[in-house]
Amino acid sequence: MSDPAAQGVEVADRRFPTEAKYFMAIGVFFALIATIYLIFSDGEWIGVSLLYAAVIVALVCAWFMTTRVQGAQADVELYEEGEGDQTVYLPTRSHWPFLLALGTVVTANGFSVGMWLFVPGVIVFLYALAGFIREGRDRA
Amino acid sequence: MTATREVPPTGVEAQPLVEEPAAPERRLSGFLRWTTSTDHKDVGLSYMITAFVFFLAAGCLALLMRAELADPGQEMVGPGTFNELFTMHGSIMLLVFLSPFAFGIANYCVPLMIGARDMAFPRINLLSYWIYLGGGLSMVFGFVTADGAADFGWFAYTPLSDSVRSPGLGAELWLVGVALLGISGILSALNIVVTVFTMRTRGMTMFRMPILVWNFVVVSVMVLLVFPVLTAAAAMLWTDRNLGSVVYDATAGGQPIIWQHLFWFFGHPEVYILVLPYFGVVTEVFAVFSRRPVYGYKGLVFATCSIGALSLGVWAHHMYATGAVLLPFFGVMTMLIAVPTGVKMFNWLGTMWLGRVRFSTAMTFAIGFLAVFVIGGVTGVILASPALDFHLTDSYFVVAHFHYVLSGGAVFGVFAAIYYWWPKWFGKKLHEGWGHVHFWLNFIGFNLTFFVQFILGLEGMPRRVADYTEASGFRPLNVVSSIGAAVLGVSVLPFLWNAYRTWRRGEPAGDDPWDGQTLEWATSSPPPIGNFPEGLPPVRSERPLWDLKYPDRKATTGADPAARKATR
Repeated sequence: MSDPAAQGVEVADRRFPTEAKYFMAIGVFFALIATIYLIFSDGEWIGVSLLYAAVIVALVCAWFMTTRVQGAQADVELYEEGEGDQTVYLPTRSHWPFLLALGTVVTANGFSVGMWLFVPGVIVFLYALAGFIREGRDRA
Repeated sequence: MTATREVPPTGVEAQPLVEEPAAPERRLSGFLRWTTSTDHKDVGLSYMITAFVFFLAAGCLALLMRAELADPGQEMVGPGTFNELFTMHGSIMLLVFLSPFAFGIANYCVPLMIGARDMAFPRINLLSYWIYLGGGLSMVFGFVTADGAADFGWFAYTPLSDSVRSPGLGAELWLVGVALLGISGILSALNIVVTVFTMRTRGMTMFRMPILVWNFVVVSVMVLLVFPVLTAAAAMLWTDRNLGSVVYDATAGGQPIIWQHLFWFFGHPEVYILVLPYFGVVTEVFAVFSRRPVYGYKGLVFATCSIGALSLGVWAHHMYATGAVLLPFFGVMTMLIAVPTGVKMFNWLGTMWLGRVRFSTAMTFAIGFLAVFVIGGVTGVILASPALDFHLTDSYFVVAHFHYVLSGGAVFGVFAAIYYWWPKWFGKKLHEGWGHVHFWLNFIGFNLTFFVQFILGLEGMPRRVADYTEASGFRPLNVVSSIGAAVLGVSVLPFLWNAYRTWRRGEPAGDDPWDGQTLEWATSSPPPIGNFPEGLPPVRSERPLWDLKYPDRKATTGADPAARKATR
């Protein structure tokens, strides 16, 4: 990617990308209502905890967007001649997700139905998980 | 074409370069395509078709209930079975039909609308579909267990749902299903957020994305905040039932009301999770079939975000009658939601205003959505008032209210989406005449079924009862409601026939049958793997395809009628 400024395109201040601002707004808003709720609800701790947990989640996301994804889409206004030849691999078919889901579902049902379902479920789950990960690693 | 995509212009980290071997690009078919294709369009269709089958099943449960309620006395099912019916009807409609159908639309349309080649995590996408199907089936399999399916309502209040009062495998399977659906939803939502944030094409800034994509961002973030709460709550209930923990057990120092808080902290945002995607759908439909840009784009986006944010602060309005919640806080917060929702109403009306409206089936469903959703929304404000809610809670008024929001609102949105995007999904247009038959049967049947339930609720008929006495005077309106339900049931038949006849002998629709504005119409129907083999039009506004087709009609959303007329 060439320098945006060199192409005469005005690039907005990307210190806080829109994605980060979005989560910041959520965090600030929940902090506000969580505090109001904390003061007036007379110790209803479930709601208070959940609201503050939402604040934390939102702020962690905002922080991540600000620091790690800062450059993402920075030159979104740029059009360059010719398409880039950089490509990433996206698998179009894989049987591991199906098997992994099968393992997950059978295991989860096994918790309630019994060992005869649980044990095969765990076996399928572990086999599929290994396959799923190996597939990704081999292709990366 | 190979199954690769451009690296979005990120500065994050260099992706490894991998040359795809020249794999044949033919699509899989049948069972293999269903189980192994990670193409976002295949996964999206799987989601939607599966969800629609569950919709038909849950609709049959509703018809059974209406048949039982048509007349005093027990004809069809006993009270126990009736409990199973309404529990499973609610659980399937909310958790296994509406939100997965929305995820299906998201899977299909979000990458196309932002100009991406696939979702960010294609394999996890397929994984979440199969976990969803497994979770849904786990829940439904309760019907074939010895004690029947779960029968404690879709909200599963403790202590009713503990192991003493609701023993049996059906209840267990319901919990397992809820946990699995929660996991699936979280994975899907994560996928959508990452896709939208990192894979937009050049020029597609956040504030040029179609409204539908914005709505899915809001919905996905809400899912990420509240689905874990539900899954955790279900897991704790499971341990209470099976391992002897006492989280919800009042006799051993636990608190049953914790469940209500946790459940509704999920449950109320869930309502918006269900309906916001369809807000997005009708926004797209209004804009395209009025040949207008969306009126007040930014206002609409901020309204959607406000609805999403406020919805997390209103959970206890479902708990007024417990007497243990802060009434003024939840009353005010709930009423506040009406403000951004009202803003959206005016955005939609403003989009149609001075537009060149075409009454296609999709547009008709979207307008039907607008009509019934206003009724659902206004009765919601009535219920938000604690003084009124104490009288109306657990009555048929509430049943009518949430059916107007979810069955009227969201399901009309589902059909608007189906008629609008069917040409993109399958390359053929559904027949418009049969579509209108479908719409009018649906609209009349729906209002006949549910409007009288407002009156029944005001007269005092309680929810979740299998029977009522002749002396109560509820009979005439119940008969009307049941007739309406029959019409509603019949209304699906023209749609199924329409789908069948389109499949057999529909005319090819072409790439852009509706004169669309957004990027999904810029590729072939159905799009190939990789989506945009011919490249994308430059994205300079929120309707790039329109700019390409009509470069001289610059978008304006201003109030000047002359300027607005010139743009359509």
